This record gives sequence, C-alpha cells and structure tokens, in this order.
Amino acid sequence: MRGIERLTPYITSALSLIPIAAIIALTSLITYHGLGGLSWRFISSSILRGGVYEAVIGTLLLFSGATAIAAPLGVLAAVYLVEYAPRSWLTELVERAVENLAGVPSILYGLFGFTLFSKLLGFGISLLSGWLTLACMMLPIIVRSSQEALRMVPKSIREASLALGASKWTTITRCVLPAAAPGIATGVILGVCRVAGETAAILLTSCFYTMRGLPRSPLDPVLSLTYYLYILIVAKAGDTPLEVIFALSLLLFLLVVALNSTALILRFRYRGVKRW
Amino acid sequence: MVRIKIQTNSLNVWYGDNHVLQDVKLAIPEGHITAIIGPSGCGKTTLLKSLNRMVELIEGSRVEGRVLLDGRDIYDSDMDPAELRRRVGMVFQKPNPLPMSIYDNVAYGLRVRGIDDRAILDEAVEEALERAGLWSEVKERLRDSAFNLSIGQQQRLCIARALAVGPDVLLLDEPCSSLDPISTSRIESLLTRLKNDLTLVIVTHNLQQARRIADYTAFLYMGRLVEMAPTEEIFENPREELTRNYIKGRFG
Repeated sequence: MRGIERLTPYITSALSLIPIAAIIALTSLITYHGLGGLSWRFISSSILRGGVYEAVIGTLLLFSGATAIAAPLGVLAAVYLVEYAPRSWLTELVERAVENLAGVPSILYGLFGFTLFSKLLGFGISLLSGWLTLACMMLPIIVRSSQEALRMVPKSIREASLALGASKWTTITRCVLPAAAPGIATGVILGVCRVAGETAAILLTSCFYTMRGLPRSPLDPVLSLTYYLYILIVAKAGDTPLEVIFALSLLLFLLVVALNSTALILRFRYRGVKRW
Repeated sequence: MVRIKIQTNSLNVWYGDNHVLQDVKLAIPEGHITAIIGPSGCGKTTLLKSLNRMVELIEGSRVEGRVLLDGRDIYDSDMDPAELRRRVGMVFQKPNPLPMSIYDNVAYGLRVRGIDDRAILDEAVEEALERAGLWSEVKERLRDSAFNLSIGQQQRLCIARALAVGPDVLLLDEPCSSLDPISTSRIESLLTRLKNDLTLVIVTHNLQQARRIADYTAFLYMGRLVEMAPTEEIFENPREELTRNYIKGRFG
C-alpha cells in the first residue's frame, strides 16, 4: 500500500498528460496533412473546381441563421425564468428539462427536426429546417448561460432602478441585461460552437450532396463543411486526394477553435472585472 | 403644529408566516428628519420599505393596513408604484450605483420617464449633484463610471440620483453604515440641509446619529412601534421603560 501511495502523484500526472497528448496529436496530424492543401484558392473556389466555397458559405449561413433564431428566444426564456417566473415545481421542471436537453445526442435532434420541420411542417430538406433544428440544439446552452449571467447581476442594481420609479421591464432592459451582456454573449458563442461543427442534425434536415451552388431561398438545401467532409470520407473515399480531406478538416478545426477562443477570451475579460 | 406628510394606520407586514410589523401607527412630519431606531431585526427596514411599496418586491411579503401620503392611501389599486417611488425616493444601506456613468446614473430616473431632452437633463443632473454636494468633485468627469468614485461619493451620488426626479420624501436605510466618519459627517450635514424642502426618514443603528440629525425619533421593537417623540424627549425623558433601556444600551 505504501508503494502505491508514493506512486500516486506520478501515475496521476502521467494520466493527465494523455488528453494533452491527444490534443497535440490531433492538431499536428490535421495540420501536417492539411496545411499544404489549405489556401485562399481552396476556400474561395467552387466545389466543382475542387474548392469548398459553397460549403463555407453554407456553414456560415446555417449557424448565423440558427443563432438569429435561438439567441433572442433563449435570452427571453432566461429573462422569464430568472426575473418573472415564481419559483415553483413548474420552473424547476423547465430548468431540469433544459439541462437534460443540452445532453441529447445530435442525431436525435436531426430526427426530430426531420419529422417536425421537414415533414410535418413541410419545409423539406432545406436551410430553414436546418436553422430551426440547430436553433433547438443551441437553445438549452443559451438559456442556461443567460440564466447564470442574469443571476450574477446583484439584487441591489434592480432595487436601485425600481426605487427610481422604473418599471420592471425598463429595469431589465436598461440595467440588468446590459450588466449581464458579457455572460450572455459568451453563452451565445458557446451555443454557436455546439452547432458549427454539427453534422448529424443537418445531415437529416438540410443537406443534399447533389446540391450545387448556393441556396437561393431558405427552402433550398445547402452544403456545409461538416457534411461535405462526411461525404468525401464516406461516399467518395478513394476518389478524393487525402490532402483535400485534411485541408477541409483543418479549416473546420480552425473555425471551431476560433469560436471557442472568442468565448474563452470574453469570459476571462469579464470574470476578473467587478463592475458593481 | 407641524403638518403630517405620511401617516400609517394599523400597518401589518408578513413575510410568509413571519409577522414582522404589527399594528404600526406612525405619523411622519413634513420638512423634518425622522429617525427610526431599534435593535437588529425589529422591522426598521421593512417599515421604511413599506412607505414606498418596495416591500412588495420581497418574495412572500404581504401588507395590510393603510399608509397615507398627503392623505392618500399608497396601497390603493389606482396608485402607480412608479409614480409613488418618484415622490418617495430611497437610498440604500450599501451604495448601489447603476453600472453606468455618473451622468447616466443621475439622469436615469428622468430618462425612464421619457425625458430625453439634452438641455433639460444637463440642467437636472447639475442641480441634483449640486444639492447632494457632489458637483464640484465630479463635474470634470461626468462620463466616468460611477464605480470609480469613493464609497462616500457613491452614496452621495445615490442621493443625487434620488433627488433628480424631484421627490417630496426621501427614505434612507442606514445610509452611513458602510462609510468612514468623514463621509458620514458630510452626509449628515447634507441631510440637515435637505430637510428645508424635503421630508426625510432615516433608519439608523447609530443612536448618536439619530441624536445629531433627527428632529423626531421612533423606537421600534420586535415589529411594534414602542414610541415616537421629538428626539430630545426620546433620549432625555422617554415615556417607556423599554425605550430607556435601549437608549442606555442595556440591550440592542
């Protein structure tokens, strides 16, 4: 027993190196194979000419549209839960549900979106179905982090505003939301991170491999980086040079890392600063 | 004979099952400073907060009885709490500037009433800061965050902010409890000046402070008003034994 006791620090520190090693291995593998193929030409030329232009634009369209839907809804839901809803079993239930929704596998969101938006509501396999499905995926994250940000705003600020004769809504829009804004923004970006690399949910709701060009309306299908990567690996294995696949992976990787870092930077910038 | 500004009649307040104010009958004279004293947890803050309906914001609170402001019941259904709080301002125990600039803090109460005219706001902000004795200290940095001010200055900013909307009554909840002696004495002399055109009600833990600035003093004990009289009487010759013991520091 004494021996194990003495060895514990070494074992734990060795084990803690595994995730770091995995990240380094992943990053260097993708970079090593992909860097050669990644160029402005690659990003900006059409899929028909060996580029990924449509998929880049498609990805941006997908997550910006989903954010435009999910962010206001999520923030309003959080405002309701924190500022208005009296504490009851119902709000407790809603909060538990939101927590669990964040952990639901994305393929189930895809199936749900396909059933509800594509079939039942008749939006088909389209950008719109993708927006709505991805918005459903982002919502729990945005609601959760907005709730946290709102709860961080001290009661004394609300009291100050109400005592000056401001209504509750004015207090929320003029004092509470601005004070919570950095936290809310971090949450929205984390929500974007969740869907920017998403494949399963849009596979079923918004992408056709035979899609060519950009969608002309929200009811058109769309291509995304993740979906196109999936197709290149699964359906066109052997036809595509490895360099292209890795260049695409690297691009996707950089996009998600950039988003995550923005969220991290925002969080750190405002964590230390006490503004009240 | 002084005019009565606020009169409470059989005022009762509950937090859940906790009966925190019991049958309080209190008359607050206009144009004077009234201090509310009493041991911790006796309901001083609750009494103060029931004078501008801030008490309603506390979850589980219930108010019964009447609070008449210039003869009108503030708990009437047609009384708008926002308009009431414009007339009855409040300053809190811990300075609580809003997370915005000094100027915006003072202009806030006017802006939420839809006043956006630059000239009107400028004038109101200057006047309010002047009345709170803060103008000369901040006029060069009105755009700075209110959090850059010292704690004492922040509390005077909170007073200025309350004055800007033109209240008749100012409620102060232990406004000096987090301040140093110099800031405290500045606030005390400020309050003494303000009573010329305002009715002030101050909750305080500090008996000496009540003695220095209050014209009338009310002693509250376990949710009941024990007695209220001119300050000198309360301190020199109280009617109730309980008051005498509290003043002499036998409990508290």
